[in-house]
Amino acid sequence: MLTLGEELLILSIEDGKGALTPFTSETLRYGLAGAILADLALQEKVILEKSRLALVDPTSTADPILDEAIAALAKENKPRKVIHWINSMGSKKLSRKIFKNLSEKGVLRSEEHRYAWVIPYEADSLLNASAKYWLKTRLRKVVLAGEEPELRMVLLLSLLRACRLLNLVFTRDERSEAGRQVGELVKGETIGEAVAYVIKKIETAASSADG
Amino acid sequence: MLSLYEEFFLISIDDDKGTVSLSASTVIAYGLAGAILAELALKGKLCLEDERLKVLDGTPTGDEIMDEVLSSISQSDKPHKPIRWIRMMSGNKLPKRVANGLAAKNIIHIEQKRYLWVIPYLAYPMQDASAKYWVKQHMREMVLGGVAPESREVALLSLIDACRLLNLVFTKDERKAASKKVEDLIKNEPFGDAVAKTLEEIEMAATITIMSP
Repeated sequence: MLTLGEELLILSIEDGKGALTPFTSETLRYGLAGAILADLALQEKVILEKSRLALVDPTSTADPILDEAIAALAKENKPRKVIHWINSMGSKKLSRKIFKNLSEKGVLRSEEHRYAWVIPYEADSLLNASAKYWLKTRLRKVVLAGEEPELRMVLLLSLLRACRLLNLVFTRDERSEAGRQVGELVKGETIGEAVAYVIKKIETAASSADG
Repeated sequence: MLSLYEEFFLISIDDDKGTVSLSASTVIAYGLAGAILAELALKGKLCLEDERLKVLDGTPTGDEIMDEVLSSISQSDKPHKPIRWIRMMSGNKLPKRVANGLAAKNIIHIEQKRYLWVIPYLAYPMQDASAKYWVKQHMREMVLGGVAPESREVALLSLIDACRLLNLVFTKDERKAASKKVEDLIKNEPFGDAVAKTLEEIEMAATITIMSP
């Protein structure tokens, strides 16, 4: 089982290159931070109280990165805002840590400073396909073929949208229609909104510093 | 069952605008003409003699457009190279004719000159997806998912590649690796001479069209 952060990172890897697709680098880390929070919420470790996150179950998960986040949350005396956590967890190192987890899980293999897909990904699968292929196929089914989405997939779409990375899943000719569909599906999803807010803030700050 | 030229047309539609994608607009007629010849050759209707197309089996296919082409080739005074036929067939009217055919089959709707999807596409009624979704999904399965390729689908990929339209099937992060894989698939597909020559000439014709100002 992969975490949402792992899935988001998988989608950001460029086939053949074995590294992140260049245009993902600006926003990805905030999306990964959002993915950690979303996973904690899915596992009922945290609850959202208005725009603040309260830790309700500090017991360990099966994932070291989620556990680190739980430890950080546990240090606070009172619940802090989602955007605070996205800012503080969204470090550059985050993707490297997740890469490492993915190799340990046998999704990626590291080869001389690059990553290659382990193929086939799904043990029971008849297809020789990577984890990324499976993931994209599921997302494309939900958005383009009207398949009923699981909550996890909605969260992942929400994070992709917040990071403006939907073009990792949809081709140019599909993009605006798919964008509209996703907008409907994720309406009101708090974590994605917080990620989008943080990214916007940072961009505004950067552009006013430039000017 | 859709024909190759119909599948090629579906790929080239821009979902949002309901028109042929900008990147496809200059090459679409060539792509369609190439798809028609390639499919006739795949069906064993055409063969190659001295680099020129000849009719091997003139019995109709049941597809109006393909049958017209087949009869023009069989009635021609002398045999021509595929490129000559491609140029003769690829007028402005061809895309419109293909669109009307798809509308008659209830695959797309045409509304005020816009192409809209009829959903769900009847061949796969379990899901609310357009015919284009399925055509793309097949391409993606073969290139990214390691599904065994079929000649027909490889021919379609080859046409899409020749017309520089792989970006309508693959996203940016997939593109380079996908394009290499497409080349491999084409190289390893034991196409007959007629198909191979047609695909080769469409590649040249499309390149010239794309390069010329």
